[in-house]
Amino acid sequence: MSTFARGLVFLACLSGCDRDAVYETSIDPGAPVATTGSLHFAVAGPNELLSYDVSRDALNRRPLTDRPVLWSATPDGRALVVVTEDGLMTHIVTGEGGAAGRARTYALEDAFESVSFSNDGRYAVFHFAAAAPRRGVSGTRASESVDGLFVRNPNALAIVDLEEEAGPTNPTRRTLKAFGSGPTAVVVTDETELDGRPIRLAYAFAERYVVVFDVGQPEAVERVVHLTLADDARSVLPLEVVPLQVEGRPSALVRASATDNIFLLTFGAAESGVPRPELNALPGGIGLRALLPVSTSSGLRIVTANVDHLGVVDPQTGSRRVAPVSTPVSELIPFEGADGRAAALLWSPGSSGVGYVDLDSLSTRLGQAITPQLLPVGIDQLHPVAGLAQAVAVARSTLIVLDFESQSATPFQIGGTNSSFRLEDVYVDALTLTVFARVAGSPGGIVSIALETGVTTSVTLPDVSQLFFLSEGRNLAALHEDAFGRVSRLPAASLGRAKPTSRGGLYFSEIFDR
Amino acid sequence: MRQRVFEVLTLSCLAACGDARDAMSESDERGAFGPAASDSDASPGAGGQGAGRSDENETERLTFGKPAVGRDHVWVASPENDLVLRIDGTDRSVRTVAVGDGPSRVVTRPGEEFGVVLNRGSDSLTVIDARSDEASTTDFALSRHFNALAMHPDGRFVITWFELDEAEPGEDSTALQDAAVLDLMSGQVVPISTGFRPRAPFFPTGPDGAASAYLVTDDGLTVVELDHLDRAPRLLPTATDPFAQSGREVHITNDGALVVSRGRDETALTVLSPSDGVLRSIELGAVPTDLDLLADGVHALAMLRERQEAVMVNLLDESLLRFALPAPLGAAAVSHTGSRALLYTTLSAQELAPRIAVLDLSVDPPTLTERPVRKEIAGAVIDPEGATAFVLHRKAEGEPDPAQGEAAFLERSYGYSLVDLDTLFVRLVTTPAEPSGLLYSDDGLRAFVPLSRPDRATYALQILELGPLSVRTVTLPSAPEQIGELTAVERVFVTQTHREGRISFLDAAREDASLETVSGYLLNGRIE
Repeated sequence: MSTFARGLVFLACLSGCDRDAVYETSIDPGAPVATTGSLHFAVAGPNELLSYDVSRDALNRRPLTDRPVLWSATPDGRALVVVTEDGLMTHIVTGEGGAAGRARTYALEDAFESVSFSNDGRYAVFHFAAAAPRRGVSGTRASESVDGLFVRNPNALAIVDLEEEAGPTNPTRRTLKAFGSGPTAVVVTDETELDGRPIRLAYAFAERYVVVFDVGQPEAVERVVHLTLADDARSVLPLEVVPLQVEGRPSALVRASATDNIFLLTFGAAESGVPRPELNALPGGIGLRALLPVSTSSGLRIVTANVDHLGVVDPQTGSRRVAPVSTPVSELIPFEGADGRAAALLWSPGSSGVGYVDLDSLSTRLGQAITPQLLPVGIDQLHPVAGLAQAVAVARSTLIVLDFESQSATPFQIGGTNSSFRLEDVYVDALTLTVFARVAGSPGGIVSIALETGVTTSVTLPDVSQLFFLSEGRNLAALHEDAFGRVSRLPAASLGRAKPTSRGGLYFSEIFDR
Repeated sequence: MRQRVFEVLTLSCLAACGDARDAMSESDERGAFGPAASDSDASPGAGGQGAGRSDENETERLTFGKPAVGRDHVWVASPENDLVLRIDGTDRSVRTVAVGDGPSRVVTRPGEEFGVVLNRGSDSLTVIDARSDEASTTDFALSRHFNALAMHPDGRFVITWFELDEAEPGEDSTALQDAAVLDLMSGQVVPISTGFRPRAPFFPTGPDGAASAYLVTDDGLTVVELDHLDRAPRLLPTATDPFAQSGREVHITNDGALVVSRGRDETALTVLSPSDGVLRSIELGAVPTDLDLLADGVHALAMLRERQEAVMVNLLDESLLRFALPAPLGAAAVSHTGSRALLYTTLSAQELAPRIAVLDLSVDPPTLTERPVRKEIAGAVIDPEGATAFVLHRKAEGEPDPAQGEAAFLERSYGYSLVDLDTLFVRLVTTPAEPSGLLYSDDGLRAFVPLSRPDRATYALQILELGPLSVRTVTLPSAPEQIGELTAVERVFVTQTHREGRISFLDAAREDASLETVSGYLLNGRIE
C-alpha cells in the first residue's frame, strides 16, 4: 500500500471562533487497511481509528489511547487489530456492535510492530519486527528525540486468543529462548491433533534456528530447533514452514536460506508442552525457492522449485530426483487436474513462460511430466482464482487468464500494445469470476474483466492511489491521492454503468463537523 | 550365533615390497581382523591382530571406525553436543543421552541397549543403560587421557587405551604404556601398564570362561587377566630376538592358546604359548606371502609364492603339509571351518591368466582345483558359512567402454566375482562404482557391498543373495561410510557422508524394501 505524506493543517476560524489545539495537530493517517466492508485508517496525531463503511457511507471515529504503531486486518477480513504505543491492543470485529463494531482491548505491555494470525483468525501472536527502529520513551521516534534509554527484549512476544475476553492469561506474554538474534517472522499453523490432544503450533524464525511453541498452551515450554551445527557459521534463515502429516503425525517442512536442506520436523507424543520433534534434513537442492508436499500413488513426495529444475524428494529414502524445466520456476501453485490428479502450475516472476506439471507422475517421468507454455510477456504477478483451476497473470498493462485444465492463456491488453499503463491492485472475485484492477498511469482508472465472457469494462478515475475490493456489498473502494482523505465507491456489479460516489475530508470530518 | 566380521576390501597397491613392509610395521587393530560393526570378535579362522598383509601386497582388510550397535538402535557419539544419539532402526527416531565432554567412542553390549562412551574431553567413561524407556547414566573418571575403547564380548569389561595413530594435533599423547579396565560388575576402573603402544585388544575365548585380553604392543604381547585385575599384566615376547618385537604380523587363535607371528623377511613362524611363555620357531623354508590361522586353533595355512607352495602348518607338533601349486599364487582366504581355502594372487602377471584355486581340505587327500576369473584380483574373502567366496577385482586406468572390446572393457570396470565353492561357478559382477566394503548378514543368507564413486556422485548398496548368487542394487543419497546390521530388527544400516549426519536403514529380507533415511541426525542432538 502507498503511504501518505504527513500533512500539517492549520485552520483559522473564519467566523472568529477560538482556535483549538486540534486544528494544529499533525496528522499521519498511515496505510489504510480493508476489512470485508470498510476501510480503516489509524491516524497518528489525533490518535484515532477512522473506519469508513463504504456501502453504508458511514464514518466511525474511535479514539485510541496512544499513537498507533501497528494495525492489521485478520485473515478472514472481518476484524481489525490496532496496537498503540502504550502497549494496548484493540480488537475490533466489524459489523458487530453496530456500525462501530465490537471492540475489546488487551494489554500487551509492549508496542509490538508485527502480528501473525492463525488461519482461522482466532489466535494472534504479536512480536517485534526484526529491523524496526527503536523508539524513545517519549513516544517519538528515536531519530527525533530521545528522552531516555529504551530497552526492549526482541524475543518477547504476546499470544492473544481473540475469541476470549482479556484476562490474566490472555494475552500471555513470554520470552522465547534466544541464541543471538530475535525472531524475523512468526507463522501460526492450523490446529491439529497429537495423541488425541489438540495442538496448534507456531514457528518463530530466527537466524539459524526455529522456536516452536503451542499457542493453545501459551505458557508451555517451547522447543528450539537449531538448523546448523554449532561450528557452522552460515546464516541459515528460515523462510517458510509448510505443515503436513507424516505417517499420521503432525509435521512441518521448513525451508531456509543458505542451505540446500529441507528440514522435516515430525512431532511425537508428549504428556504436556510442545513435543520434541525429530528432524530429518531432506535434500532440497541448490536454488530452492518453494516446496510442496504431495501425496502420490507411491507415497508422500516433496516437490521443490529450484529455478532451473524441479526436484522430487522421497522423505523416506532421502533420495531426490531432478526434472529440468525450460522456463524458470520459483513458485508452485497446486490444483486438481484432470481425473482428479494432483497437478501444479509452475511460474517465476519476470518469466515469460509457465509450466504445468502432473505431480503424480513427476518422480517417474521427470521432465516428461511437465508441459511448458510460453507467454507473450514476462509476468510480474500471478493471482490464483479461488476454487477454480485458473489464475490471472499480470504483466504491466497485460492481463493473461490462465486456464490450467485446457492450458490456455487468454491475454487482455489495457491501453494497446504500446501502453504505458501498469495494472496494480489486482483482485479476483471468485463469486462473479471477475478481475478488477487499478490502472496506474495517465489518466488512470479501474478496469474489470469477466473471466467467462472476456467482457471488459473500464472507468476513468484520476488520482487513484489504491484500490480495494470489499466483498461485503461487493464494492470497489478507490482511495485518492488527497491530503484530506477521499474515497470513491463503485459498485462492482455495475462498473462503468453506475456513477461513482465519493466522500472527501475523511481525515478531518470532525473538524468540518464542528 | 557367531558375529560376522565387517571387512572392507580395498584395492591392493602395486607398489614395491617396501610398501608392504611399511604396512606391516603398522600392524595394529586396523589390520585384518579388528573389531567389527557389531563389536564382536574376529574373522573366521583366527583371532587376530596384525595387518594380515604379505609381501605380495595382498588385499588390505580393514575395519572402519564404526558406530556401535545395540539391540535395535545404532549408537552415535556427537562430540560437539556432548551427547550420544540412539537412532531407532525401525522408525528412525532419534533419542539423545547427555554424557561427558567430547564423547568420541561408543561400545555396546551385543544385542542390548547398553553401552559405554569414552569422553575424550573430560577423560571419563559414561555407562548408558537404555534398556528401559528412560536411559540412566553413570560416570567414571579416568586417570590418563585415552582415545580408544573396546568391550569384552561378555559385556562385563571395557578397556580404554591411547591409539597413537589416531592422536589429534595437540592432544595429550603421553599414555603410551597405559590402559584402563572398567569392570561393569564391580563398578571399578583399574589402571594397568602395558608394553609400548598397545593396539586394540583381542579377547580370547579362554578355558573355563576365564576372561582375558591380549594387547599386541611394540614390546610383545601384554596379557591382562580381567578376572584378576589385582594381578599385574604379563608381558610376553612374540619373537626370540628382543629387538624384533615390533613390526610383526601377529595372529592369535580364538582360544588364545597360541600366538603366531612373523617378522619381515623371516622364513620361520614364531609360536608363543601364553600359558607358559614358551616360544618356538617353525621353519617354512621361504618368506610366507600370506598367513591364515584356521578356526581349530591348531593349524595355519602359509603361502610361499616363491616356492609355489601352500603349506599347512600344525602349530602344535610343527609338522608341515606342503601343496605344490600350479601357479605362483601367494594369497589365501580360508573358510571358518578350515575345510576350504581359496588361493589366488594379487600380483599382475602378464603371462598368467587371472585365476583362483580352491584347496579342499575336507577330503583325504586334499584336492586343488583351478578356475579362471575374468579380472585380476585385489583380494578375497570366504563367507562365514564357507559356501561362497567374494573376490574383489582390480580396475585398470581409464573408463570402461564396450566399444573398446571385451578385454579392455572388463579391465577398466570396477567389479567383483562371487564363487560357489561347491560347484566352482564364478559369477562376475561389474559395478558402476568402487566396492568400498563387505558385510555378511548374521543369518548367512546375504552379503552387502557399498559402492562409492565421488567423481560421478554414484553411491549405492548392493545386496547379494548368496544362495542364488543374485544381486540387486539400492541407490544411496551420498557416499557410504560404515555398514552394519541390527539383527534383532532385521535391518542393515549404512552411515553416509553428510555434514550433519546421515544414516539409512534397509529391511534386506524384503525384495521390495526401500531405504529409510535420516539425514541431519546430529542436528537432533541440538533440539532443546
